[in-house]
Amino acid sequence: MSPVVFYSAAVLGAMGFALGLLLAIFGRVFAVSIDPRVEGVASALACLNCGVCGYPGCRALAEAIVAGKAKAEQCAPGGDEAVRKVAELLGQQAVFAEPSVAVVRCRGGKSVAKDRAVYRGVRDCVSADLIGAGSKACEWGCLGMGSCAAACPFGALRMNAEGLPEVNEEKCTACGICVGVCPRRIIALIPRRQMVYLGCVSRDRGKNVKEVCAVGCTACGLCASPKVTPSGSVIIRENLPEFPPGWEDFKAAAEKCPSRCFVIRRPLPSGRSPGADAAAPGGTIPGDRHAHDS
Amino acid sequence: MRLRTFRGGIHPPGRKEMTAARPIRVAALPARVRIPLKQNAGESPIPAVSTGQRVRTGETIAEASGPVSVPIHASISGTVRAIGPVPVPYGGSAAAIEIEGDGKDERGWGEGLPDPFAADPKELLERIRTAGVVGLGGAQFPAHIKLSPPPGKRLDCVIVNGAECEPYLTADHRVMVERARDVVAGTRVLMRAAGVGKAFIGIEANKPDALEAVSAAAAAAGGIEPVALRVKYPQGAEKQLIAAIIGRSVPAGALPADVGAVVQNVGTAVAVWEAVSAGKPLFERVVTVSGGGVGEPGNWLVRIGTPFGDLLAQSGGLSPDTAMLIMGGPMMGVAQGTEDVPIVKGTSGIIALLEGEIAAGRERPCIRCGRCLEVCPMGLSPALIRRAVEKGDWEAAGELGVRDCIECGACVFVCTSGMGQIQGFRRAKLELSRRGGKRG
Repeated sequence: MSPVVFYSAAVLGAMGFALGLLLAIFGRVFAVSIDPRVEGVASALACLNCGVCGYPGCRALAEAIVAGKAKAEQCAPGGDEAVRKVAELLGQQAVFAEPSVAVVRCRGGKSVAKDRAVYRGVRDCVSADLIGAGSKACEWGCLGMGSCAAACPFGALRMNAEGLPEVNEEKCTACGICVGVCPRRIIALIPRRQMVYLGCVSRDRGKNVKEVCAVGCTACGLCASPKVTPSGSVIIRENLPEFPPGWEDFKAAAEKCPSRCFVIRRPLPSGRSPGADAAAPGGTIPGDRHAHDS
Repeated sequence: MRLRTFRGGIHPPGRKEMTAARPIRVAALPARVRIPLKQNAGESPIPAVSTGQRVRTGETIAEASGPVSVPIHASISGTVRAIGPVPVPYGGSAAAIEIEGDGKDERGWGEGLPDPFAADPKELLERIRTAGVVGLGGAQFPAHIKLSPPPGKRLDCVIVNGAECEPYLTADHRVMVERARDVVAGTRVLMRAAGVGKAFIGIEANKPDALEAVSAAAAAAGGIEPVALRVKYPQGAEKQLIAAIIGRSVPAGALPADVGAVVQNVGTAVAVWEAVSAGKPLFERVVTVSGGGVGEPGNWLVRIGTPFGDLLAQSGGLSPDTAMLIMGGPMMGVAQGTEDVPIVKGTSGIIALLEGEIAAGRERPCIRCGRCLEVCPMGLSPALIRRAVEKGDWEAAGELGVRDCIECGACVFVCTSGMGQIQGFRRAKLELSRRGGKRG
């Protein structure tokens, strides 16, 4: 064997050994310890990287959860499933968030709410709100350009023929992105157990509301009267009725309301994922357009 | 002589001939005024009257609520009927004080200074502030703030803005022609209040009569130089005016005070003069009513809080064919949804446009012709910013300098594809300010 081959092999071999040794030492000295639970928690979350929790991606939330700085219920799309899995992984008691759903608190569609001008700008609610607040006469009502529907990462919102967004409760994860997008704060998250909500956010005086919208709350106070609501759950504050999520005797108020402002949600059949329309018991009030189609 | 100007800009049809030769007429005393509280950039003033209270013309009805805030005054004498939200010309509703007039127009303001030109500058600033003087060009920025720059910045000249580059508007033009002496006197007060010895009055060359009147009035006063400017839009924009007259460019994100200048509108100069010499608060202003939808276009001296509808009725009524009602000029004005909004301190004009006066076509895709780049007075690339905005990439829009956009609309005017960029740019500014990001 030529000595050249021998020397080459020896030199390279020695270099390889020395560098390998260095790598091994540095690997120990500068090791970044990764909590093995982070991986597990991250995969238990919804894995959508939607950003709803406020962290940059699921992994960042997982790290925060393991470090005790965040809770699994912050992962809205993950829901109870994620909370249960994370609790199991970390050996903690599962704390379930109250399931919520987005509701659209305006029923003033094209046919019932007046326009005050023709809007010619960008078809986007936030932009419209920047220049003279769009075309609708009601200053509180839905602008109807679908910024919320465009922002929903789950496809749970769509614009109907009336120009109002409709929530598909089956798809809604209550992430709240639409709530932040709407320049008029019309969409709200309510507990899924709450069966009734007010389809109007106008705090204008009754006379003004009547001028611009046929289905706006005029704060007439009928729903708050003891005859209609014996439990006294409703009080009128700043021209809108307020009531607790667990308001039980709402049927009469919903029927008596002259503007038909109350929207009764369809109850969710137990044991199934939300939104099984056909089997849903309980009705909607007459003329209610909020009942979503399947 | 070569006329001074800035880089970029456009030449929209002036359409000022409808009202340029019409003297200012005094509008009828309104039966009822609604005076919005917030008529200044900054904090909203706080009401100082209650419902049912009697007020006289010029009486303070709302007090300033902070340093960047000025009081509001009654514009007619009468009784306060309501304090609450009313539709306002800037869009939506805002709190306003409604006064039902008694037709007497009783004087409710104090006396002026005997010799304003010898008064202490501090006293002048205080008079300007308590008279509720804000920029009458449209921005409504409190005048006394501009005149007192923060420590470390020194002013060396006052620039009085008589460019009036917006089409249709002639209110400033008429003020300069009819009240040239007051404009010059106001300029002298501004100089004294700001502690500077030099002032320029910039006037576009399409107003020779105004230039002549102001030059004649300024000849007697020292240190005031009327400057003829090239007719070009937006010649009257603050930074462009500074560039044209004193050749200094205001850096991105900086204020005119950073280059030693303070810019005030000619109407503001007159209001300042009235405030210090007669003690008269700012409760009336000159408004141009024009456009194809107006029966008899003209210039009016009108009380703040007068409904648009009242003034339109005196101007021969609003045509039913009116396609667009605008407060301000057609380039930067605000479209209105109703005539039931009050005239505010920043109302330079009410313009009613017919369909034929508006170029509202369908938007087509950008063909990268680059015209918007040529005309942008701020040297931005509207086409590129627009592309970033369409993608919702606010950061990129910020890096392209969308924050420096003055929303003059020159890029929209020349766009071969009929695109309306400004709304998107405004959206980008909003999104960037929400993020609280630093300037890119």
